[in-house]
Amino acid sequence: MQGTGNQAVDPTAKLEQFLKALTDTLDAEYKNETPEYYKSMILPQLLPQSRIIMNGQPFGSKAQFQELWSTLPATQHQTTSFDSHLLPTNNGSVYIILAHLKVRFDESGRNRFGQTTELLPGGPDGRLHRPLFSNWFGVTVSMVVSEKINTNFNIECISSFDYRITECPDNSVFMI
Amino acid sequence: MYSGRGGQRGGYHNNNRNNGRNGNYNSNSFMNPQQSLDRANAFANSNLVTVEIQGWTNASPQNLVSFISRKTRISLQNVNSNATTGILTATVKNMKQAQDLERCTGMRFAGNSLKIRILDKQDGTKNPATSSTIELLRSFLRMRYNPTSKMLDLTNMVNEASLVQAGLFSTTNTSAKFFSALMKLATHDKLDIESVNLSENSLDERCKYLLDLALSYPALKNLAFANNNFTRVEFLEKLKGKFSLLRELIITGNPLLNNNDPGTLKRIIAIFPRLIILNGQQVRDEGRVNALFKFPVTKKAMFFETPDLSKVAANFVSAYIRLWDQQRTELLQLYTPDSQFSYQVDTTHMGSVPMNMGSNWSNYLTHSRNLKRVSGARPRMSKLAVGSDTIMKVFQSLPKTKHSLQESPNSYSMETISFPSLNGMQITLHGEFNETGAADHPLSNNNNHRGGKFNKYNQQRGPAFEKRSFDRTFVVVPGPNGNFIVASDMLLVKPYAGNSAWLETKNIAAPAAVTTPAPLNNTNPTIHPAAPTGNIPREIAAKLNPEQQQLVLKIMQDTKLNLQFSIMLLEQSGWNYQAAGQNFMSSKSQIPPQAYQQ
Repeated sequence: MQGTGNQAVDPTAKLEQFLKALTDTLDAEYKNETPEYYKSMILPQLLPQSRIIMNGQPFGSKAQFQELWSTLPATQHQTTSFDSHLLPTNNGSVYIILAHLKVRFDESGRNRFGQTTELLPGGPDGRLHRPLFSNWFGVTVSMVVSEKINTNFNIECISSFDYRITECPDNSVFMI
Repeated sequence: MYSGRGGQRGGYHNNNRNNGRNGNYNSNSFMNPQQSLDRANAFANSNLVTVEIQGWTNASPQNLVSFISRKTRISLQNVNSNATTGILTATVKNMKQAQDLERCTGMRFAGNSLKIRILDKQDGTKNPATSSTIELLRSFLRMRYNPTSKMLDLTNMVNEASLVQAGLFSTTNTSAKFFSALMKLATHDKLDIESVNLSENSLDERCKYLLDLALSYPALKNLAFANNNFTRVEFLEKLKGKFSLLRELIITGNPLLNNNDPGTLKRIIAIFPRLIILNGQQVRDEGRVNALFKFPVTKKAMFFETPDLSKVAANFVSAYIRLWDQQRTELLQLYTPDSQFSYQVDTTHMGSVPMNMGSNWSNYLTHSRNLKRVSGARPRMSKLAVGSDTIMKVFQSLPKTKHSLQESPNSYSMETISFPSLNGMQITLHGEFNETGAADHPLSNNNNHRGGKFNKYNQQRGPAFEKRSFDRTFVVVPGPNGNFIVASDMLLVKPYAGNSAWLETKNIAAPAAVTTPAPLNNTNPTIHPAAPTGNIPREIAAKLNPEQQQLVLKIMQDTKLNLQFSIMLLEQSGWNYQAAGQNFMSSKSQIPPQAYQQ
């Protein structure tokens, strides 16, 4: 194992916080902003030409990914495990991150803009809407992130984002 | 047979129980309906095995049950104890558990030695009365089941002569057990059922039929229980999360609908998220439901950014994994003094594969670099291996393995992208391996004084070698002699979770791999792509509708392709924004430079 001496510096110190910032944007609740603004705030840390792959399918652009993610019902992510290497490259150092998360999806029948699938006439039944979350799915995320995040999380810094659902629960309404 | 006397027997039996003279009745070779239903239930759970335990009487049966559970992780069910005779009987899940438990004979408990033996024979012989009840239920199922329509029609079974004569509805208790046994038998006999009709059975809030049904057939699509006595919608709310795929429901003729309150229907709809038709009326848009509850990307097990990478990465992974399994030290040549390797363990259970309670992680935990758990610079850096010699030590500290990449490629999934800043590639692999042997050189645990207790606990239990799932990501760069070098290598070891998450569903139309869900409601904010700024020459715009014009501008903005190629891409993608993006990515390497905006 690497000798670290007395003055060990942990290059990974901020990563947990950074991962939380990322999942917060994936799970953000839609309030009264314009839909376009809401979408632009989904993983804004992606670089415009970032490589984005979800369940083995590539996305042409950050905008396409944000468009698609906004069609999902509400989500909740939690990171259960992660590791990272800081790798020097020709373009400055990058973090290679391999993280395992759990995610669940709202199964109450609304998308994140509050739209329902119901056809019955009449407004809402007057009861407060609460999400009804599915069982947990497992997700493995591998990504490449600029070390610039040590100064600011809210910059375009992710050059590749690979999101792969690796565990599926039984009897879920939501399917992949 | 005791046809015609069933009702009387049921009643008699209940009185007997109240008088505490139940034992006499047990000795009778005939059983009353309740007993035979108990046995039928047990039959349906046919793996259950009964064990007998003696030597426990210095403590209570509850103490014994928790002691056994603590020591062996085996849960005793249906416990029946008699302090006078000193005999306690209970069931365990299967013969293996029973045998494991039997081996615990002699274990000290409350100052005495336990004596444990298996009562059930492995040949599954059953009491004749039980058999006749099972046959009765089975012939009833056969009569009411239509395999073509996958429909089980249980309409008005309370008046089915054979069941009534056998006393199966003589008391609330027998009637409840009857249905539970019927469902278990249906699943035991593997009846493929999509629809169940429970109409006209005088069912009310006290009956548990719907819960039993949900337990046996959670994926039911159509359900009717018209003309019963359900009065409160709250009762149905107990079914929340139970019939997650239910598409049609018929509940007409129940008092709960008498008030004609549309709010009641709305509440019922809310219980079943995929319900499309309620009492013959369409209540949801099926297309929108399907779009909402489906991840909007069709899963694909393998992704390679370019065809060239596909060949290189596939060859690399298969060679690497072969060596990892057979001759790990040979991998040394792929690592340089700057290469990094670390592994992390996530024991969190997720997914549909049942949790392995006895799982043993002691081979991994001491050097796991799960940064959620390991904090502080020094502990984190000490678990990062840098340079081939250190990396090899860690490799040799991990158990020997066998992957099945060749034999069972579907068990694996992989994404490969280029890594331009190092002129290399990044490969992320997901899959499973079997542990086949102990590590050649386990690493000593420097933190033994802190983690000792936990590790000791771990080493004492659980199978030595298991099947695990894993994810691994490699950054591979070209070496000086055209060979490969692994710059970064991270391994994540998890409980075994199977491959259902990436196994591709067949018969999906290939070109439009990404579905575009329609906006759910026109009055709500649009979720169409917004029109970017830009202009299309009038003569070209004239040939496109406004939506197509918007798509062209958006694709030009996203891909930097010029107008002509953007239109070509969209035409080839059926004017589907998502499909166009995908097609762009997959054919990027073949697009000529003149296709881009200058």
